[in-house]
Amino acid sequence: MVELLSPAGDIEKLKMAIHYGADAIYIGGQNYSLRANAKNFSYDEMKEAVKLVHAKDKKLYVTVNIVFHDEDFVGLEDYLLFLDEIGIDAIMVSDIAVLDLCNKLNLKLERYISTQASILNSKAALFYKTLGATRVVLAREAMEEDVKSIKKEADISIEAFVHGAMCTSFSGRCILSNYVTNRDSNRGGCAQICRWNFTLKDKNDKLVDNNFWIASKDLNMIEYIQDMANSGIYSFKIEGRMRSTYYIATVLHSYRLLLDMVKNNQIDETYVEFIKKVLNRCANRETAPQFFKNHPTEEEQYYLSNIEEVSNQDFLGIVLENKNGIITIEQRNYFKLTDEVQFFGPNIDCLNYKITNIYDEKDNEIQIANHPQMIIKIKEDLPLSPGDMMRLKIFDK
Amino acid sequence: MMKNKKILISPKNIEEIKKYKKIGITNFLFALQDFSIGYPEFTLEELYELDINVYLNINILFDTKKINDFKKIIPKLQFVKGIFFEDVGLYYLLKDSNIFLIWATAHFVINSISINSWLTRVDSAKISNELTKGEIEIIINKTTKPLVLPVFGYNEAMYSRRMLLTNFNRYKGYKMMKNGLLSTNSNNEFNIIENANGTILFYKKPFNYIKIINNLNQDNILFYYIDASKINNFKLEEMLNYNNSEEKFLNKKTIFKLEER
Repeated sequence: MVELLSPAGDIEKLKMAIHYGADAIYIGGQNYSLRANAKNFSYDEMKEAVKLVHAKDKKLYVTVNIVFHDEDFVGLEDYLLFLDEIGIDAIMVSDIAVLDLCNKLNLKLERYISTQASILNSKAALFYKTLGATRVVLAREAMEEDVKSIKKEADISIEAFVHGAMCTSFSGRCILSNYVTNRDSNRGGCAQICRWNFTLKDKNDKLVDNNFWIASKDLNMIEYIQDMANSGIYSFKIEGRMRSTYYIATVLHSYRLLLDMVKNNQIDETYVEFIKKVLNRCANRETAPQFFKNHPTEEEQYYLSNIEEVSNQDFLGIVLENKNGIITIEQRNYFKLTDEVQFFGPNIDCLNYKITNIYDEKDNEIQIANHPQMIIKIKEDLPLSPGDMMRLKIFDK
Repeated sequence: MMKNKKILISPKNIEEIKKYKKIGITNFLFALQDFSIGYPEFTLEELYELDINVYLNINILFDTKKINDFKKIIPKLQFVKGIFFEDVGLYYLLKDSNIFLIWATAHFVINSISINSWLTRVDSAKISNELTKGEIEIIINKTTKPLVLPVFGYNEAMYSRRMLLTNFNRYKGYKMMKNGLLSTNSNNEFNIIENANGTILFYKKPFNYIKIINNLNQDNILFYYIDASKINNFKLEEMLNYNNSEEKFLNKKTIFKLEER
């Protein structure tokens, strides 16, 4: 058994994550989470989220993973008691003071060690296990032998990122944002300075290059999923609590199908190649596998002069209803008659379709759908369900 | 006032030790070869001969291979007075030894509650630098064992497992370099240093916290830590009077929610 773990930045994205096959979902509250400027969840929304998730027999985790200053502890005890009371399954933690408090309060919820703790070895995992942790989220820098060793020697549940943004640094070991913008990276204010352009001089203060980058490509572990599962990883984690609904749906859809193949020991290489291309387009940054098999080289760095930024206009619409041969769609990007599109969803792998008709809400035939979020209809008998996505057909399966 | 016997100093090289000993400094912190990043490195063999208190700075995160390599040298650490550790796995490995252990995870030693939790397990902790004067005072006053307070040096700003200089130089076809200077368009400058363990950035301007120490509870300070390893011809008096230091965090709280601007 493995777990597909999705981020959700708000209730709508959480519903989408459930719909697209996540086994578990992680969210942040208004405080103590490393995405301080995401919308995040209010107390009432967290209660609703627990109900939604548990109704589908899935799990809900909450990040409490800032590195605390003394002043940040105000209200923490009440917050942890609240999370425990409403039935949150686990919290993700990086500061041992939070673990101590959970133990003191005798909370039911499980404690997972956040990737902020940068765990790469079994001794570190054993340390946190003695403090009551039941899972470790490995550092993104973990290699295959590290995973195997941790599984064997620490015998603890292992969670690992498989897709999404990468820090240049070890997580938690960077305060560039604090220096450059006065925003505290370890309390959720990271301004992503590692993605800025730098000037590089040599040790004699002589200019080397005015365009020096330290950023990496985003993570994409599609091609190593089988090996990751074999090495002992239980939870396959998608990064991106601030990402769009389309991004979440596309990534989850791809990994859900892939993990089901892993479960059945039947990886379809054609499918792997197809979703690698799709995933490379669904965010505006190039992706690559990182660390698990090899230390990153220049191939995994994000040197902007060499890369065309991908515009993200592929997401065309979301299916609202399919009834009596009429498909109702909420538009998200421009499309027109004769466009080649693809539908995908939890029950539909990838359906190619050439648009032969478009109607507006008043049933007038139109040529183009060019207003954001306009409601249109396509009269066609297609096996679609509410929540399915329509994207531009760029690659054929 | 800072007493020299309470000073812990990182020298640039072995030769410098003599001049520090002359003024009564006996505690030294050395980055251990193969197990550190960003500082001049020393071997156990060259440290073994010295008539001083040797502390080791093990400031990397350990992968499986590295921790296995470290296990092999544990029998050779008997002469070492103490170890500053970044990786909690190293604590777990050494917890039953008699070695004096100092928790020094960069950017994490920033609140009194976590420090006190650690102090039930280890002997001391080295306070991280990105704190206000008030926060440092709170920590010194509330913690249960004497701590190590960095008072002069260069603050770590970022530590990566990636070979950022090597990768870029390969990409550009440049001559290989292992250190340099980075600057952003907002005129912040960082020294960049790479070794086999990755890449580390230090803020270019040194910090000087000498001015705040008189207000602190001296009894709860184990060492005042001075990193003199990156300065040529370093003189203690010059450091004491150094005015062009950075005070990015000492007097200004960092924010993390944009509405706090």
